[in-house]
Amino acid sequence: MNPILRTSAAVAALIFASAAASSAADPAPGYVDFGRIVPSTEGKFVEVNLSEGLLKFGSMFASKQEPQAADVLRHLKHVRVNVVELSDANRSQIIERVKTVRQELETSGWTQIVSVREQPKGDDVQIFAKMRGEEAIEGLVVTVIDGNHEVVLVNIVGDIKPEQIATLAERFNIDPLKKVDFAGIKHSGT
Amino acid sequence: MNAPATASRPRHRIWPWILGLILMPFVMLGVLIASAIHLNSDAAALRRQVMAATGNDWHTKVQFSVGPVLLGAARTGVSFIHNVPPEAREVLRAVRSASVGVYARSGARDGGGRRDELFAAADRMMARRGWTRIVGVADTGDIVLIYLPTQGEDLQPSRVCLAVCNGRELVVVAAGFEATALAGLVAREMDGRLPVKL
Repeated sequence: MNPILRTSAAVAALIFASAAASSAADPAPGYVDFGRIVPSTEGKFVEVNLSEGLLKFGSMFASKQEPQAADVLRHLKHVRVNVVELSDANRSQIIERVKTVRQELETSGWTQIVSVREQPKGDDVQIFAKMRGEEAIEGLVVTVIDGNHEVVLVNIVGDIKPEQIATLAERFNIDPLKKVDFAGIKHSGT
Repeated sequence: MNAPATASRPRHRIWPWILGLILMPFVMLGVLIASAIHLNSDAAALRRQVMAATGNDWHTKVQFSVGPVLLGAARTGVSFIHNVPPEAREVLRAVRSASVGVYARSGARDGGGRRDELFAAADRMMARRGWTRIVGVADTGDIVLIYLPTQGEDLQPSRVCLAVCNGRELVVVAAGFEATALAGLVAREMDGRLPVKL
């Protein structure tokens, strides 16, 4: 093969590889890696991972009848939901995972916007937001330990206006998000 | 005088070609029929993983594949028929290929098998084939696995591979579709309401 052609092909391959590596290594700022959560041998397990393309695809369904919801979806980059029913086999491991996620968020610039704990064994809800200035939210993480029965983890990544969260919560039935006063968070800024 | 030695050789070489041309349509028809009654490789691989994790006592109820050629022929044929519902035409327009398998087990309903192993094994195997799981549900004996192509995650989906099992029946589907046409059809059927509630 012509040496010039060989060199050009090698350079092109290197450029492509470095571009691919850099794009793979830079998740969006609001993205949180919950790690690999596997189902136990019994109990309910739900895992949903929606990418940007799929969310835009979903917005096409609703653009006429639910334009607000469609607009929110168009600005989302990623949605991950995990619902895991707790059993003796996985309770300690899953709850430990949730506590680890919470600690990591607290130490990495996320704002805790909701913290609710119903005694003695009720819901333990903490919601975190990654703010970009005062006007936008780059990421939301909802963590719920529902007594000893169930754990819910939700990560929503995108360019989200605080006032759109109510639409998101209502449309996708995310109860803990419905009660949050995002106007207060917006004005306090972080 | 000696006749040229090469005069008879061209006749011998032609017959295999003629035979091949005669047999080719039958071979192609056989390949077409064989591919139409089997799952495509991705769906078959997913089926194998689910069956291995839930017990192998499954028997086939329905299994077929239709590709772009057959669907194109169906679209052309339907265009000449007047009483076909518009939704059927839209489905034909939206779906580019489909591979469907329905299986049943004759014994008692399975409790779900080793779900942790199933999810891990299925994810590994599908990742090697270029698929990423977007939905995984396991509840008692019910299992749902939905995969989309890994490449182009930021683009609209154009293929899907899924398996749904309720312990007694297993359905495996791999389909290619045109996203905009499918979205329009689903939006009309769902009356523009988003079907998802988390």
